[in-house]
Amino acid sequence: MENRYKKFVKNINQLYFSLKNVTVGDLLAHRAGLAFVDEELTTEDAYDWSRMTSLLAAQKPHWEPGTAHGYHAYTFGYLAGELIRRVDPQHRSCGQFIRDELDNEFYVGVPNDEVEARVSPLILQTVS
Amino acid sequence: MIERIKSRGFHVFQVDTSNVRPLSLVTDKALSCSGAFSSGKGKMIYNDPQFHRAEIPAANGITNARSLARIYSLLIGDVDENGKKRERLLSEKIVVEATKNITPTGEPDRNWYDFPTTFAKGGFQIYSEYFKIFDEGVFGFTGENYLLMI
Repeated sequence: MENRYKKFVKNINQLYFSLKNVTVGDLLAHRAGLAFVDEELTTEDAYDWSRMTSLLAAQKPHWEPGTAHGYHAYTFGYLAGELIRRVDPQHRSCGQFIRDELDNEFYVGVPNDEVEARVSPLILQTVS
Repeated sequence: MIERIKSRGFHVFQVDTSNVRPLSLVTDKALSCSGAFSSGKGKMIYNDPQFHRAEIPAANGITNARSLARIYSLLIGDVDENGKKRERLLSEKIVVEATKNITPTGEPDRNWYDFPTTFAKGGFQIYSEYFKIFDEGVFGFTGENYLLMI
């Protein structure tokens, strides 16, 4: 894993993040200034990986990367996931990479109805 | 936290904060994925099978407690789970680096109500005024509605 990490860092300069002057450190610590894209999105947009990563690649950072921080609630996953996909020699998707390398029961993207049937529903209760 | 089990399912308690602090435009954009998951749409999108099927790594990791515990355990050391041995995912040195704070003290979070959140080099939240859990050395993440991974 450490060697992989070194390779990962070495490959960074070839990635689109460098075009915006965003380091991996900035990205991971929520300092990239890419917490959202300016245009209004639909759920279908958010389900479309290449659309989201293209929009983020075209987005002008909302502050000079590294100079401030703000929770990248949703975009963190697309940015870090795309980084994984690009540096992985097999170019696996983020979800596949997690299942192969971290834990095979951790799903980002439920793959079939069998797994879907086991997903417990979230029940929202508002308390005041 | 209040615990009430009414039916099979994972209960998420949401504190009504609508009168407390209005969302700023940027907070709203960041927390709704530019409107895609706006709460104003009045639908519990997180139960939608289409939402489960998509890859939205920051929001739809679906797993069980054992798997999550295994991953966090593998960050802090080797794991022997009923004789099944696995080596740690990251060396201790990298974990130390990844959990080092790099957020300047008191710097407001531009997308989280200007609260002074602290993020470490590897993206974890670490022990601070804002993340006062256990003690120094803790790392993890507060989730939406106080779900917590440590």
